[in-house]
Amino acid sequence: MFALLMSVQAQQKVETPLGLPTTITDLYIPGTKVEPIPRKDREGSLVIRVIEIKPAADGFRYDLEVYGLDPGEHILSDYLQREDGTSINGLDHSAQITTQHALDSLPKPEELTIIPPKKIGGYRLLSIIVGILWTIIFLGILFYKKRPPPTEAPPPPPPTLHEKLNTLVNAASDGSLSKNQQAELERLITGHWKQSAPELASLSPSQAIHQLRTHPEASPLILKLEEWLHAPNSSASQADINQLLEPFR
Amino acid sequence: MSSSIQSDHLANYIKAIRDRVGEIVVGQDVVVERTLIALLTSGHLLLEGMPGLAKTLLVNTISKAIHLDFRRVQFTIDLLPSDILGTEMLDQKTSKFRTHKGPIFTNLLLADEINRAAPKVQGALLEAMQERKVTLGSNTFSLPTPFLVIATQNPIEQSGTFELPEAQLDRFMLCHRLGYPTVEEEEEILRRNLKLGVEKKDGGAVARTEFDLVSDSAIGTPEDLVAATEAVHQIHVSEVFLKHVVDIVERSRKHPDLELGCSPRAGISIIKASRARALIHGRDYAIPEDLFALAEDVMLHRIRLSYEALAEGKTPKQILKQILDASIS
Repeated sequence: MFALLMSVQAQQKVETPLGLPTTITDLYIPGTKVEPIPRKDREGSLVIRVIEIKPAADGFRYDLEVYGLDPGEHILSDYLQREDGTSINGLDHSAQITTQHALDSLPKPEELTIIPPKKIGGYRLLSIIVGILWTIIFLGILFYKKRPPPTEAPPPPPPTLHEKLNTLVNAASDGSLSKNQQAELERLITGHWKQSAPELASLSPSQAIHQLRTHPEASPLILKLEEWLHAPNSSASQADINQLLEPFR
Repeated sequence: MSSSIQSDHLANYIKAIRDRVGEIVVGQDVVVERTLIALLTSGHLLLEGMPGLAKTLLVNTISKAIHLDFRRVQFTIDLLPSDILGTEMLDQKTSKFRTHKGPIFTNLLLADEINRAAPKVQGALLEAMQERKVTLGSNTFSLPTPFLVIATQNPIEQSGTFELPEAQLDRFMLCHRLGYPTVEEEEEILRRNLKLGVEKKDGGAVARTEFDLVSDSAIGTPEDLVAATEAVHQIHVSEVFLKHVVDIVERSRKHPDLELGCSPRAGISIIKASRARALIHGRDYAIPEDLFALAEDVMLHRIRLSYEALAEGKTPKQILKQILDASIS
């Protein structure tokens, strides 16, 4: 029965945090009274204090307060003795105090697992493929045969100054010039003389007209035209104008 | 003289004015002509040129020769509209508002460096130029007749200036660009300056300037000026001349390098100015030479290049030359 009781007591493995007190109640130990072995140095891993001793059938029941100073499992009987100083015999060695370090109670970090990277490569191949594709597309654009535009007749060249003048001079001889055509005729004659006389080529139209009004060859026509087209009471007749325009036919 | 309208008296009158100015100012005959054109057509004139080209002397001489009242205003950044137009002032003796008319109440106003003034001052002046009226307080005053503004601006120095926008530039009938005198003219200017001498006055002496040579005696009478102004309106403008004007204005609007072509006001100005030029040159009808001679002064400040043309380094003068050359080819 004693052995069974001890066994039950011992199987209640007491766990205590490091440095903090844990109370063990009603621990039955047969025989004479026991007491903690006095600590003479700092080697001991447990500090035991007897709180209360209660008489039992063949021994006593003890309430103990235990401080675990070192982490690990400690046998309780190693720290107790009889009052006469003898050791306790027959106490089950399995009565243990397990002291845990505070850090041991904290959750442990996940173990790092090394995952080997995937195989690096293929960039060079990809670059080569892209380069080939780019070259093919570029050459395709470059040498793509565009359809030739439908052949159209080139636009007729704009009439030259002489052609325009000739048309207007012919109309003038018929007396069928509109006011717009008269104005154009006057401007084209100025342009004709500006092109014909090298000394007038670089001049502005204003300077050219000013020079032409005193020019020995051009002035008779220019002044007559001015009078014909602009004077309120022109004395110039159609015959006079036709005669002056004769060189432009 | 080809006209029966313009009397010998009128021809002599205009010639005498040009001669009088020529006695004082050397080599600015075209500017004198443009000023007379502006005066006879009630237009306004903008002169662009460097300092020292006798702009003030020229205007001063013309005003005295024609017996016109002349005022000059130097435009600055801190000028106020009331400094030009005038204002109403409280007379402490009578406790009533008294109107103080500004320098704009004159016949000939020289607005020196007009682009230096703030836009509100430019706007006030240009509005008065357009309407020929000034409102001070609750009273509206008509400006004297004739009224001509000759404004100047320096084309190079642009820092601290307010460029006149196109809409306001359009109100100037002519914008003439003054150039430097020729070598011969420059020599003549220096010779004349050497002969100026010293003027003794009030017990002291001071070097004489060209302004001291300007005679106060007027040529002709105000009636002569009125007659000349009327004569301009008698100058014949043919249908063919109108076609020339429309052609050139139209070309400016269709030119690919121009963002802004000439307005109808430009066409009106060309015809007005051509009439006055014909009168000055002794004709009773306008001819294409008038048009082409005045085209730059009338059109160049009214056109604006496109962004692409500016980026290509083209200038308005080049484009106008292209337009004029194209019209005769």
